[in-house]
Amino acid sequence: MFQNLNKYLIGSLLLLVIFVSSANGREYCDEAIAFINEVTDETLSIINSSEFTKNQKKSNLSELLNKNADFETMGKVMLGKYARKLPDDMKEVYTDLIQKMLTKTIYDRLDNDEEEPDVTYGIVNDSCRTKGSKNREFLVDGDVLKDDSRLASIRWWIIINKDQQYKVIDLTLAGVSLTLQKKDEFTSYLSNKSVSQLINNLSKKFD
Amino acid sequence: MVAKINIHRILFVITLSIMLFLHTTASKADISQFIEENYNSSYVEPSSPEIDYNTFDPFEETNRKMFAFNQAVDKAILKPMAQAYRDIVPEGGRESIRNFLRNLESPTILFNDILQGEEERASNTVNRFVINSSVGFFGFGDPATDMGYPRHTEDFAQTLAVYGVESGPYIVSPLFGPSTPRHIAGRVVDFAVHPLTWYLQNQNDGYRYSYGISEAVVAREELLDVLDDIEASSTDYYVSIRNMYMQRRMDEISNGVPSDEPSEFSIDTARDLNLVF
Repeated sequence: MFQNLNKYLIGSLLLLVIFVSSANGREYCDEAIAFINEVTDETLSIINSSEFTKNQKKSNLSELLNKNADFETMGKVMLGKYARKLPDDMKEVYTDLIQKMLTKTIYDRLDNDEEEPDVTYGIVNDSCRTKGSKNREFLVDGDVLKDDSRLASIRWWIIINKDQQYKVIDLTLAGVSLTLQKKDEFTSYLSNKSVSQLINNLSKKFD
Repeated sequence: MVAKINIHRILFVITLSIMLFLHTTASKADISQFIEENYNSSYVEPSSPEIDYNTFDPFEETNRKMFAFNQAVDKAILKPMAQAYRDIVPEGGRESIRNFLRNLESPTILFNDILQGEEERASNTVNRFVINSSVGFFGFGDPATDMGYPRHTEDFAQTLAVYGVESGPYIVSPLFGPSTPRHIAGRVVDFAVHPLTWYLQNQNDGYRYSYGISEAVVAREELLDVLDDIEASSTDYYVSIRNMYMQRRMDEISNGVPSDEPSEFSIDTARDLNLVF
């Protein structure tokens, strides 16, 4: 009788561990989706606003991304193995340039220069999955519903940082990841040039 | 009896431990290998687990020359035509023309939906074609999207990918741009099954060329801003386009479903391994 009881206890404990860990992931995923919905809504309200000029929109978007994105990590992902070659005194300048570059890229990809811009609504059909080893990284997929009823796919890669805040580290628009695209460019550039030259090149374009 | 049960229990625990250990080490090994290659060693530099450019773009030197040639042709002919088209035709008109040309692609999309065994997407394509050709006035309108039948694309190269045919190396083809042998083969088959190919065969050359040129101008107009922005913000435009092409194709082949590869890069795993993060 006690042997059977042991079996049940072990089985229940195992199930409990599995349930708790998956419920934990689900709970974080719910929070991740809520965070992304908020960021997407704010981004779209800036892009679609008729009150702001183009420069004001870029400045507001920059502020929003500064609050919600981890540019330092994004910059390191883009440098890949070359991140070790980034001198300490250039780290801040480099991260600042990455912020300017990504803000411009995201703005350019979401906004169009038409006289009648596409009015985009919030994110729909969202889903989330965890990645990495600690249930702290998430891929949130969704579709942005445009006013012509078309759906544009969007994917955010976010991470919970050491201060327990959600931070964006990549944005995939229409199947193209910005971080991976830039990483590829930088890798090619750095195969025959130095990190300082890369920083000079970026400052000419984005400073 | 008690000893027998204990042996069973010990065996069960050992088996479970081995399975757990193997599972953890297998996925960890994939991730470690990817990160080692990307972040610690001087070994080749794949931009993502799926793309190793040393293998994928072995003809980079030739491809860059062809890319420069295509750029020159684009700047001299296609881009000015696309710009003029944008200046002359208002947005509403351009959208109608885009819809019309897209509607003509429906038979090719349906052909590939069926070959890929995608019943739901095939039925969606049929519904779109019927609705847009009738209610949408020969395809100039797109009421099907409003009625819950959104547009998707399929081509024969995607069908080949679904059946496991490798893409082959990256090739920049003259005038057509980024491609792979699989994509080129796909284009030939798509061209052959396109109903207009058969219809235009009996028409004079003017019609045939007009259709081809219209398609190119309409497609280029849609990309005017995107390509300008990418070129302006890129440190290496050739690499940007190559990467975008690869990512877009992988997304199209997977129908937008994200990969569940265990080797997918993760910041936490990189930190676990005490790398640059």
